[in-house]
Amino acid sequence: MAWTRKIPDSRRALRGLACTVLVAGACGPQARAADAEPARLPPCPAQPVAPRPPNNNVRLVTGAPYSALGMSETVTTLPDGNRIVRQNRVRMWRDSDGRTRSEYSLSSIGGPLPLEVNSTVTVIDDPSARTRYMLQPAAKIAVATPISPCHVEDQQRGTTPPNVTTPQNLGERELDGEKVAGSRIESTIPAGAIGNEQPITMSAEQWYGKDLKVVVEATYRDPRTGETKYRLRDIKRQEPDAKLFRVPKDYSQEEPAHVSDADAAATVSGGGFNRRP
Amino acid sequence: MRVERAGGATLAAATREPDWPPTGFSMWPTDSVALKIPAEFSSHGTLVAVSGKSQSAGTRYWVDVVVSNDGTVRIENVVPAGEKQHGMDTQNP
Repeated sequence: MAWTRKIPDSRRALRGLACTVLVAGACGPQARAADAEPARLPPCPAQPVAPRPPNNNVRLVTGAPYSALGMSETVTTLPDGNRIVRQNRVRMWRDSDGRTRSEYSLSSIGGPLPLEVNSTVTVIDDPSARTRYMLQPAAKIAVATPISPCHVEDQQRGTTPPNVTTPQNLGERELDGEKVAGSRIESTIPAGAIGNEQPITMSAEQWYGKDLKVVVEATYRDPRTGETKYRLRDIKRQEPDAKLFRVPKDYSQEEPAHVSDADAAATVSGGGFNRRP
Repeated sequence: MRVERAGGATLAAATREPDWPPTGFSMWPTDSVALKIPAEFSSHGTLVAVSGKSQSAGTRYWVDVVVSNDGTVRIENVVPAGEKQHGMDTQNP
């Protein structure tokens, strides 16, 4: 593994959201995004998605510029009929060279310990520079971390987890002018496994844009947490403005902050990686 | 709810039932970003993100969040701030 960078043990006085820590690139040292077509890049490793160790593999998709707004809404209905509605969104841009900009606007995240966030994080991935920038508008700081571009075939599939059905092919259809291919999986928690009197069946359905190479629509159902619907909207298949992929001139660039201390600066972000099918 | 600080143990992991959709698996190629967000518990028992520079008497936690462009947003871990994670801190994973 040739592309490993030690992050200096330094602290930064950051405001708001900050970023950190990417170290090991698992894509391999040969990958040179600047002169590589996606097919010539090493495959993205089929490893579980997890923030640690940080996997900074970034899927490179070239020749498919677009911009779109992805919106997700999770509705949890309580036994008394009350509902909890959580919405999050991501605005995405990609240019023909595979550079991407993503603006994640997070409000509320469900789970065993729900998190209220109300923040926006902007991430620019520049495969040719092998760098990810996380922008902090309040402090005018761009935290730069290394990334390793890699390549994923649409048809590649990783190992289906235990207790999950083999993906069912739902065929193809058209959504907003995009030809999409659908897949569906299910999983059932047997009765008694977690104190449940009856089996609990969850399902996930995704529709993947064959030209854009992103998920255009998805539905996730879990009786324990409700239903999440995701849809990509405002799809524009045009070359985005190049300045969207550049760090603004009035930003200073920093390396990730040290975060192992409770007083250390701010929110820390990091870990850019691709999730492989 | 009382939150215990046990060496290395993570709060989310301790309370987690099987994830859905399953962590680490996606039917199609997806791009994700991992965020680490400082948070404190509110009086309602929920975690609320706080500014890294804010002063508070409350215990602060790092919340690991993974956001993907397939509509999933997950809390992967909740760890007391300053505590090493899985035997390594985020400085030297």
